[in-house]
Amino acid sequence: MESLTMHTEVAPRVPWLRYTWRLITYRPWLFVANLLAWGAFHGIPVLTGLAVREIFDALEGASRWGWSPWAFVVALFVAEMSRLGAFRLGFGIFIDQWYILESLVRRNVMDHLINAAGARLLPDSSGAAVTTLRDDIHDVGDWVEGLTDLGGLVVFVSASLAVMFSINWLITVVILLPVLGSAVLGITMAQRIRKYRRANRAATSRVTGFIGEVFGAAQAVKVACAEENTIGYFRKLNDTRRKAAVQDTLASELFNSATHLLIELSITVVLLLGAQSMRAGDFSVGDFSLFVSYIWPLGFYMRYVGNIMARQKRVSVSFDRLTKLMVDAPENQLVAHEPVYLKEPLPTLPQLRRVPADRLQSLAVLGLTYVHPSTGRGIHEIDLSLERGELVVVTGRIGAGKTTLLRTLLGLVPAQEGIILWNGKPIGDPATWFRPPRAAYTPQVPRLFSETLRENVLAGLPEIDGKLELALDRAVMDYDLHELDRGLDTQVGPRGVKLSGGQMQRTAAARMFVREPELYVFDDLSSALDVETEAKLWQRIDRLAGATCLVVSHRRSVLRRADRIIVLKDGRVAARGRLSELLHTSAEMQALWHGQDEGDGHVSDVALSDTAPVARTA
Amino acid sequence: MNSANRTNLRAYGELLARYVKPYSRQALALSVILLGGIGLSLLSPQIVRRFIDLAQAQADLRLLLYAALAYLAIGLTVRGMDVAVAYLGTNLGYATTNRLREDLARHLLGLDMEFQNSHTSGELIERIDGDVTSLTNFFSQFAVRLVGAFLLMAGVVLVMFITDWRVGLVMGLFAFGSLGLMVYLSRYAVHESEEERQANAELFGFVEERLAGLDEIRANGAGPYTMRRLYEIGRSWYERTTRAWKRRGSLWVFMMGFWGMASVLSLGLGILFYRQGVFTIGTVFMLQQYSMMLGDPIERISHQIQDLQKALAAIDRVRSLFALQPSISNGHGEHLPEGALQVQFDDVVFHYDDGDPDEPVLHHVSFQLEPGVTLGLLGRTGSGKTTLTRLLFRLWDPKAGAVRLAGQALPRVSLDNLRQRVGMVTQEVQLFEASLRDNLTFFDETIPDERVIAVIRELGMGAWFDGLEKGLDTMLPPGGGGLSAGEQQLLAFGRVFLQDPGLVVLDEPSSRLDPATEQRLEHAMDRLLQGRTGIIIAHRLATVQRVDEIMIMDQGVIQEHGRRADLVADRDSRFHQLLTAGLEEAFA
Repeated sequence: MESLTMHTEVAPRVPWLRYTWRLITYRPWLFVANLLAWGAFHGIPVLTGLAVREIFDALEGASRWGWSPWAFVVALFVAEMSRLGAFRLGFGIFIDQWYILESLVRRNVMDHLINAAGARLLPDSSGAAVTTLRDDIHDVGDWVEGLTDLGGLVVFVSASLAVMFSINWLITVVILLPVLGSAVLGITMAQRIRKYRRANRAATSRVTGFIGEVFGAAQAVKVACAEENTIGYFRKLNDTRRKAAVQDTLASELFNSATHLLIELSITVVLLLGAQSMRAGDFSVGDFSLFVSYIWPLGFYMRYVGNIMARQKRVSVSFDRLTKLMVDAPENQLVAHEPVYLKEPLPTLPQLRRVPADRLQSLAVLGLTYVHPSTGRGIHEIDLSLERGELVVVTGRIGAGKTTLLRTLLGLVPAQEGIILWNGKPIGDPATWFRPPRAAYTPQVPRLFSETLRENVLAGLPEIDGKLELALDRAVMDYDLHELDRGLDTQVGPRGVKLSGGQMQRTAAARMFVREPELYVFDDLSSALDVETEAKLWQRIDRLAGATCLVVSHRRSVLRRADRIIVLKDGRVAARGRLSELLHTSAEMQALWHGQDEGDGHVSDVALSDTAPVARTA
Repeated sequence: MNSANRTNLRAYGELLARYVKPYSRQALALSVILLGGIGLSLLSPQIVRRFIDLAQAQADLRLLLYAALAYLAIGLTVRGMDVAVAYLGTNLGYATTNRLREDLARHLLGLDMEFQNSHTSGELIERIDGDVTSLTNFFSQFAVRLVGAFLLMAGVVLVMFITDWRVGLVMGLFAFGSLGLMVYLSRYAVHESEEERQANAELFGFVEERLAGLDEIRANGAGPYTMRRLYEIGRSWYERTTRAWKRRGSLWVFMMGFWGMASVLSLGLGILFYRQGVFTIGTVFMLQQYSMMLGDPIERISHQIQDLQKALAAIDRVRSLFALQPSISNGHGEHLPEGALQVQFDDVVFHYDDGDPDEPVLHHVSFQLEPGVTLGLLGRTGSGKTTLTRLLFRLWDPKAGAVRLAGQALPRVSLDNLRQRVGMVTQEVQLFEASLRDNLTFFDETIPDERVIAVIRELGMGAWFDGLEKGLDTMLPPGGGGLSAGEQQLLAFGRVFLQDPGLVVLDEPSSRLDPATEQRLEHAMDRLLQGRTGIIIAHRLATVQRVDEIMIMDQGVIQEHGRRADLVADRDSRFHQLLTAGLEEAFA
């Protein structure tokens, strides 16, 4: 739906010509070879048309060369075979070039998103970004390949027109009209056809999306006894899709038929004009066959020329969307000439190196501000400080800005104001600074990737002397490892679905621990953990000498441990201090703390006075 | 063709009969037009021959004009027919397969939870839409197109025979020989194309996952590693996709070779017979035109046969899905009374089909709940409390014992009525990419808007609702985006309000909600429990304080069940211990 509105009729201003040139020159010889092969493939039919003409003329005894028609049959055969050879050769090059260029652009976008300095916010959902990386990059490859075809087409069009003109200029001029008509048709219809195609795709993805939603919620549908109503809605979506599909097919079939008709109109013109010349003896059957054999490709090629203009617009939109995805990338980064490693050995991974300056003594944040441009929510002028070995807890209601604070600090979203001091020195780009070995991070809903558990935790770190086991132990994954069929080699499934919520969180925690960062940053780590596991986790974190933690939580057990608590309210610091003070001084802290057991005063008194270990099980 | 294929072919026939029959008039019109178009396109070269021979013979210009116009008229008609075929074919294809999609979706939705839990929704999208879509062509035009292509080939060869039997023989052998070869070769790239699809899925699956986890990759320094993995996957993608393309390219080379050779062959024969005085020059030209017409049907047949392989495999999968039967049968049609329902578990034993029968999830569970009473259900993960509530909806049936509502054993009650009278709110709220109205009513169009809006206000979401420009027509984005977790929960409550059941099962919202937001939910919970029997899977003290009775489950056994007030007073009760330990901390 959104993509519909994004496709505007007006091509955005992007340096498409320069981009195209940079792409062509990435593997210039491939492009040249491509041009030659396709030039031959498209050009040879000019020769086969001439050969067939000579066959007919020779049959009528009017050969210009005085040769037997058989000589031209042989020539025709040779020409056809060479054309096949050109195709075979050109096709291989064409495919290689296309997929190499796709790999290059994809690599450049991904590398920028993953490794460049500065915050990275995808303009849309990750799903929409994938569509851009798939379809828009496909359009880019398609565009460059279209250009190589264009070379061949120019060869054919100019040569065939020259030949026809020399035979009969009048007929040539007259048939050019319908042939040009197909070019105009190509230009005018291409946009509209794409519009229908897009509507069809959108309707299709509504259908598939709905199937996904319904079966993702099968239990809810069954329990609500909503099977029939759900299918009723499904029927409506199906029907919308049927109409979209019919429109789509109808549009492209009309276009196709119109092109065919224009060509047939041209042939009729040749028949009519040719008939008089034929009777006069200055237009032979051979000439007629030549015209007919040229008109078909001419018509389609002209349509293609019209199409190329539509493609240029399309590729401009694609370039535009890709550069938007890369936001602040330097010019030409999209088409930078970088290795794509399709054949050469893969690059080696850099080692984590610790330098003395990285060692954390203190972290201070002054006046940190980030306001989300569309919602207007965010954090304002946050001050924060943290000494080595401390546990600082950020707490507050939903929407108070807790997660935003962590993400702004880490440079995952761009701070609009404020400075961050590491050991008293301001740091330039938080996004590249807050990385291992200095910091590591676990978000509230951690993302795992469909690889093995081992790969998820290590994520490229070398596996040395029991560090992995240690990290898993700290994350309280030791017991789970025995439970999983294949231990560390268990495939965790797409986004980690084969693990339980708690296992996913602890795997993400292990990913953080194995990096042994100076600063641990985690967002509500315990939200999917049971109390016993959580208590173990904290005990093990305590044992890490000098571990410094910045944590979002509203769990009482965590708040009790905190060296300092920062209470956020509506994006601002409402209070700060230790729990015991805050419970007396801060109304917001009191509300958060007591909100956990409103009601029967007797019971909450009992719960509040509880100072026993959190893991006590009754 | 092996026997499995033959069975599938028969299944294709059955499906065709079931789904195309209602559209038999459209199908008939489609066939007539398709075949008519073939007949007409055979005429064109004849006209051109007449034309050339007439022109050579210095015939009257008017005759020539007629011939040329006839040529154009045929062209126009054939193109018109093409458009009609495209329209009818697509419409028919989707009309029929949409019904198959609906039937299949309805059937799968009716299957047991075991089925739902062992198939990802992505997989079912592929089964319901992917497989059925590959049948679209087969439901509309496959037979006609295949027959049509054969007829066109046969027609061309026949015309050649009529022109001269020797030409017909040579070209016929050549054409049908090539067809055989083409059909034989058509399997050549099937495996590679399958690999290509797989490679695409892997690459874009990788990209999507990494983009979704961009924050973590960046903040945990996994960038170089991720890029290296991208190169690795990209290399395999490059190898597999280009291989598939090159294979398909080889098939095209063959096809183009056929076209070239057909032209050379027909011209060669033309020269021979022209020299013998059998053919006019117009006939030589006509034969060459006909020979060019042979390529198209050959290509089409080989395409259709490739598609047929895919479609037969799809039919096989569709059939095997239809063959699955739910073990939960519809009840005997008894109806539950209006108002709050009494709940009774009578010596219920239950284990999942893939579980160990010796360690049942519910072990001889018996209890009774009077109408209007609210029960707080406590227990650790895996204690059986969730399973117990699922039996109330007959998502599963007990292995022994009986569950009764208002004195009726559940299998006696019709399934629709049962699920109408029992409502549930789970921790995870399933919202659809549909309007707010559809999300609340669960697509039930009979519920009037006033009632929906009244429920929204009752939930305390009136202010939020008034801020919506499109009101009930507001489309919710996929995955409930844009709504807070609390708002999503409230919508789930709204669904149950509209359903108006006599028994409500509530899974208490997860700890991700902050305490302040939770209060709004508790208000809604109070309203929902009024005048209904309630079972709440509870995690918090606040929740437990509003219930009448408490039941604590442990390893499939009821450890304690009694009035809350009694249990609080009894210092030896398990519940009392829990309260002193802090409930949240014990059951989070």
